[in-house]
Amino acid sequence: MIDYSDMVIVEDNFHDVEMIMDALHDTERKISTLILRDGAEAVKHFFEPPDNVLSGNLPLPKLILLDLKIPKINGLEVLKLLKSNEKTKYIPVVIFTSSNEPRDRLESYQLGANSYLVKPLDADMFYGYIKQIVNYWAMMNINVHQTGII
Amino acid sequence: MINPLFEKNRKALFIAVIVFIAAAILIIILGHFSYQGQKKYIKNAAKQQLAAIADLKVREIENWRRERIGDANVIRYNAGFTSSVYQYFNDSSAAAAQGRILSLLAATQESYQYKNILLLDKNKKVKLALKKYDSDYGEIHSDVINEAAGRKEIVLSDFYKDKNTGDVHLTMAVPVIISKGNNATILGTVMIIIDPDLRLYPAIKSWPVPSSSGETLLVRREGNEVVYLNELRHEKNMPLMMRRSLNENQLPAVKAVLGERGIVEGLDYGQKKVLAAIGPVPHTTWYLVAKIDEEEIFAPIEERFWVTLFFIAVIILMLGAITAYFLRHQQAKVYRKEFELEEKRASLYARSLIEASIDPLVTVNSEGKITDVNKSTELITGLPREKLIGSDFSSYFTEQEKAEEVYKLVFKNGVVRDYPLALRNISGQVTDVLYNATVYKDDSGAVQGLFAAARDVTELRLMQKELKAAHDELELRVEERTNELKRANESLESEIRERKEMERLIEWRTRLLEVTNKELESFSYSVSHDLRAPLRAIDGYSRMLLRDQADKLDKEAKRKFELIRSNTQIMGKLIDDLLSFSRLGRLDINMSRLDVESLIHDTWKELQIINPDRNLIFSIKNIPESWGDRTLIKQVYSNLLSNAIKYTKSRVDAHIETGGYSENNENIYYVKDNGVGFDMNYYDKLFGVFQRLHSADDYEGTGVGLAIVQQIIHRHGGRVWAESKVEEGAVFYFSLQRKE
Repeated sequence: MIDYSDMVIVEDNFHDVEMIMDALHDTERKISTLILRDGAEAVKHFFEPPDNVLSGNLPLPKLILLDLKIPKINGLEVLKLLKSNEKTKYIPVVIFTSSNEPRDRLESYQLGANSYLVKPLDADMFYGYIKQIVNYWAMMNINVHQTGII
Repeated sequence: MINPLFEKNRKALFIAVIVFIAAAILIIILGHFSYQGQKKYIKNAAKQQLAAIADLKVREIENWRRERIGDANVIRYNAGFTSSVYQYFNDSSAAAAQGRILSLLAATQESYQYKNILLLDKNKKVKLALKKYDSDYGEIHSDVINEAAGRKEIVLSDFYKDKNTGDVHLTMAVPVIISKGNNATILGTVMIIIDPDLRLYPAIKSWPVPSSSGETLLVRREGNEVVYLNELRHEKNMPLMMRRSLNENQLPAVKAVLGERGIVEGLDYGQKKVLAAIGPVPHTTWYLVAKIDEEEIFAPIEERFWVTLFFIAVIILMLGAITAYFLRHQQAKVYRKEFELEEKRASLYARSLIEASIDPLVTVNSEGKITDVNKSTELITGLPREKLIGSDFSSYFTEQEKAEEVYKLVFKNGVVRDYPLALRNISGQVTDVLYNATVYKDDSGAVQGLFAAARDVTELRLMQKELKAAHDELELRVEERTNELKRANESLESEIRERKEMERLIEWRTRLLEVTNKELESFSYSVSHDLRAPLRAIDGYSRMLLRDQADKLDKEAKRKFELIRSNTQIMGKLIDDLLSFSRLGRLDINMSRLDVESLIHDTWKELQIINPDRNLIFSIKNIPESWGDRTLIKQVYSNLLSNAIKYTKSRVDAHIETGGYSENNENIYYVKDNGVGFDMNYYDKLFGVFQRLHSADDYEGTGVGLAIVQQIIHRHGGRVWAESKVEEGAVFYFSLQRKE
């Protein structure tokens, strides 16, 4: 198990994960990542003993990149659980999805999403998005629970 | 309409009332003047009386004063007295001299009951006193003493208040003078103290004629005040106590001290209206006011006022009575005339009613003789009125006995209804009639005769026959129609059954449509997700290859990878357009009033921003307002205008015009360009989804724009069409229904 991760990525599409990782590599920044392949894995990581974020055994990430259409437990439900827990609700959650449905946008923000991005079809734009997400959320943004300076 | 008689009546009433009012006013005015004359007369009498009383009083006061001076003169010019005083002052133990002095003073005192008499030496020291020994008397009255000594004359002081008793007194200073040749020396002064209560006040107070409010006042001025010197009639024990400011110029006393003379009107100290005679008392600082309440003066006139009023009232009432009588008389005349006229009219009316009747009317007496007929009777019998009257009633009928029976029956029962008889004309023609008759009575109720009316029923009989025939035919028709209706009813029932079946079908279809819509929605949701994911991967990997294998790939391979990438973008655009088109069919339409012109302006501004390099000449002409969904109509204009921009790209000057007009119940809008146009042979493909009339290489796009336009306009209940010639531009039209 990785004992520390800056960024938790909840994404089932293997190709998207590969592109995200490739883009992260491009940024030449040292970002530790944890990839969870479905909603159940995400819930387990954050809430289920023995090893979970909630108990303090695992550190709080700087950012969660969350896809909405994922197997088992869908993204909105995961978001709801994260944002209704006292400990996890301050972790910034960026929704990164292919859906541009107004209903999805509205529900995400209602549940407390910190940002909502639609995966661009164009690969150049896709890479640009990932770079900006990392720059902003993992580098510039300061969280509630943050203790030291990177 | 106003009856002229009543009009006349009203006029008479009007004149009478006017005369009455005028007379009443005249009487009241006369009464008023008479009353005022009386009042003036009485007032004048009172004034004269007051003036006489004042005059009398002044003279009385003068007399009184002269008498007092006379008393003093007895002392003043008594040589024996002077020498006794001389002796006594030189030697106070000269008892004889003292005795002589006292005896004269006592005699004087007794003659008028003076309050006191004092002898003072020239140092104003009291030497002798008849009654009370006031040691400081000389000091208190030094003014008077000095004046008397200076003038060597007797001086009568003003009213003053005794410092010990508080009583009001006057004093007389009599200088005691010894003369030697031309030399006169003052030895001392005799002070005679006068109590005005004794004679002066009563004299002033007494009123020579009987009166309840008549009063005389003696006043003098002290600074800015007037002082009442005598005892007042209406306020006791007030001499020298009552003072009033000179500002109270309604007071007769104030007027007097301010110099007015004669008769004045004013308010007295009791705030009553008074008439007063005022004037100064000679040789004194006093003024006299003789006054009497106006109330008392006018008391007699009060009584006279009521008497006058009574007489005026009586005269007016009498006048009223005379007027009323005259009016009644006039009215009675008018009503009599009216009544006579009315009676005449009534009788004429009754006669003309009888004559106007189409039915023959007759009156018959108890012997069966005709007594009166109308015109109709003359016509139906063919005989003149003169012949008919007096003849037998029954002789004009075919069945004479039956006719006799009729009128006997009427006399017996009082009435007969619809009795069928046949009348015979002089020419032999017979008319079927129905007889209606009643008896008529005089005032006392005695039967005078009968009144009969015949109704010609020839026509009626004929109509009854026709009616019967018509009725029979109608029954036949009704039966036919009933049968027809039965058949129609049966077919209608089957139609209703069919319709119910149809409704069930529609309901089922609606439910099906709802299910389909939901499925369609979830379908398009997955399309947007699942169709994009592989495209994204294709583009992503192509990019990675182009980046990582750049040195291994030749130029051709790189070009093909770029084509793969651009095609994934086109595919993405196709998916987007397809989605938005399919979503359109399920969108709710929010209708509102549309300012189409501003909507076009907004759209055009956005398009200009996207196409900064184009030289576009845009014009808007006469755009009527409309009714529709703002977002969707804006989408229509966005699509049509961007098409116009797209297909004019080969033109140096792109002319784009938009406008509209009203036609029948709809507004028609158009967008016109001078672009490449299209071939009308392929018109049927123009509005199809993904249908293109130009190659994608020349003009980019997916071919959804016009399909969306059509979809939106159809959902608004409008129509879309277009006109074009190749290379000569195109016009796109759409219509929207007008809503009033």
